[in-house]
Amino acid sequence: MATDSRRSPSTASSPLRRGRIPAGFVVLAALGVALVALPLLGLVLRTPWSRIADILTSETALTALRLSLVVATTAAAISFVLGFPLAWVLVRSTFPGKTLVRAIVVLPLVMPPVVAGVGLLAAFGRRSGLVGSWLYEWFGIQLTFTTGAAILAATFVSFPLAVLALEAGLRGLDERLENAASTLGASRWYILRRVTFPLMGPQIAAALVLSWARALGEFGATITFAGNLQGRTQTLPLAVFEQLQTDTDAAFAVSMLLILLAFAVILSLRGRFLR
Amino acid sequence: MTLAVDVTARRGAFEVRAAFDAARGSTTALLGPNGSGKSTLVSLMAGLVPPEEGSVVLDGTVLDEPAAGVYLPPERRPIGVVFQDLLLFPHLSALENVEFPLLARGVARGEAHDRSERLLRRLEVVERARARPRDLSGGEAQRVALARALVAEPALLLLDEPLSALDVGARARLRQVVRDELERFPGIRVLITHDPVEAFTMTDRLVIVEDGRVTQIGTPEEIRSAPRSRYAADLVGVNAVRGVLEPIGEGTGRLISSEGALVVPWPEWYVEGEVVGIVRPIDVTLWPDRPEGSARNVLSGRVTSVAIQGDRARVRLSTEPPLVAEVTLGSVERLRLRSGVEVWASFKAVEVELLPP
Repeated sequence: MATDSRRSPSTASSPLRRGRIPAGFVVLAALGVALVALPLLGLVLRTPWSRIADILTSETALTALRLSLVVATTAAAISFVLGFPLAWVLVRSTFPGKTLVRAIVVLPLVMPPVVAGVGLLAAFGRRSGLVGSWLYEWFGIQLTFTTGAAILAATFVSFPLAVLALEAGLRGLDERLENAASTLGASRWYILRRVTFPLMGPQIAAALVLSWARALGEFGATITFAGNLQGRTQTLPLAVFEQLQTDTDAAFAVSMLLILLAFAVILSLRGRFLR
Repeated sequence: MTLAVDVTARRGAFEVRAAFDAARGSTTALLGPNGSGKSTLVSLMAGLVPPEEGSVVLDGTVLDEPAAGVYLPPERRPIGVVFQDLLLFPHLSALENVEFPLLARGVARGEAHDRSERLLRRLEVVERARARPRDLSGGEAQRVALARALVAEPALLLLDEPLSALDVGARARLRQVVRDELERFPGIRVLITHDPVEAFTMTDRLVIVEDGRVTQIGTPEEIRSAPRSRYAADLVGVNAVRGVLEPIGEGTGRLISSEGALVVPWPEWYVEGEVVGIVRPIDVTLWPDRPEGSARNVLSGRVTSVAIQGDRARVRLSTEPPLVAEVTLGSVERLRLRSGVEVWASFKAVEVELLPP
């Protein structure tokens, strides 16, 4: 913090920052803003504000909303529970193939979601899935087309965001504080609870919020792997997609709801994005 | 009831090999220059760095003994540490920091609160109990760190440079606090410091650590009268030359060190090996030209520094071996002593006191 405040005056007065803004940049920057703002404006204008209350309280919308909240919250929780130990291992140990492990873990960030869905089918599909066929034969468990599948798809895409945020948190942590805690008689678990987690508070919040938001918006992997079944796998984005073909007004209304949720996420992370 | 350390530990390429002990009810100082391995020894005793070889035994309990597969983790050692950088928990208040070791060991909340508050009151920081560490002054933070290390009543108290982070005024006040607490503490006390004043005034025994090795152990008096290394000699303000002896007749000998030779009285007890020759700065006389007379040691060199203390001056010389002379301010003026000036130094053979290593 101290270094930041000391650095900012000097960067503010650096020649690149102080010079006049090139005219071309202003035009291109404005185009960039328009690119993002126009669809938003379109949505605001096309949203059937007079009917929005009815649409959002309809059976379809409420079911999808409830399911979305369950799926996103569960996915964020799983991402944290599995992501924290993974981030710990990635930050605090060295082992052969670490770079490869990190590459694999962050791959879903840049992978087309529909490909993620195909991959999930290949792993957990009932008939030919690597694990899925075995699950079905031995335990009669079928994942595909269940809420579990929707959660799995959402976790798959949101997990890397959680890992990256937690890794940043662990890396910024002064390990000597944990050492000091151990000399004060604190067990591993006590240190985690009273020192590590509280000191990583902002990064843990970021990990949860980012993975929750990503899970909430998940579409491609879900529809491929879990299908589009109302009440079981039809989350809000899937509902929007279906309504676009039947009731466009409803599609716009639900889209508006998702935008507002996204906006809430940005506001909750304003320290990270809006500086 | 003692602490017995005899270990080899490694940090990167740096190897620390040390053997010393410390007794209950006394204060032992680990004294050495920065980078000599003192902090590695702190981490080792605290259990944060396991030794490669040897053992650490506290009150009959083996804490470390790699050969026998024994290693007690830090949280199970009855040791309180005040770290050089304090390492107070930034997200907890001063009081919560002090309660931490009690709560971690399962003491009930109310009792932990009372004991912590009582200790903060004794250390005169109770009015800052609710403050976060970043809002505490250096002296206040130091008191809180001391309270945190003491509150669980450890058997061994390790203070790593407890005063080094403070400004001069706060240091003087806190030195008294630390001294009082050390006196009151019933267990084994180990003070780690690079400050000879702290070491000589606050402790009963000194363990001198240089470059990862213990070079001398003794009471302050013993070290003052017979330092065994250049570092220790510097600390107590005398010249020490370590080398081997060679007889040159008439009850005299030559003390040959890697940095030069001195003529010394031949000691009856000498058999072989290294000895340390002590030359008191006050016995070294300075001359503008080569002196005539009976002094057997006559060396020339340049002045490398002149430090004035009261009406005396300590003059460092680049002679072989290098020496410190103590002269009056009058001599400084008469000889025009300042850095770079060439002078002659002389002292008698009998003024070199020889000590077995």
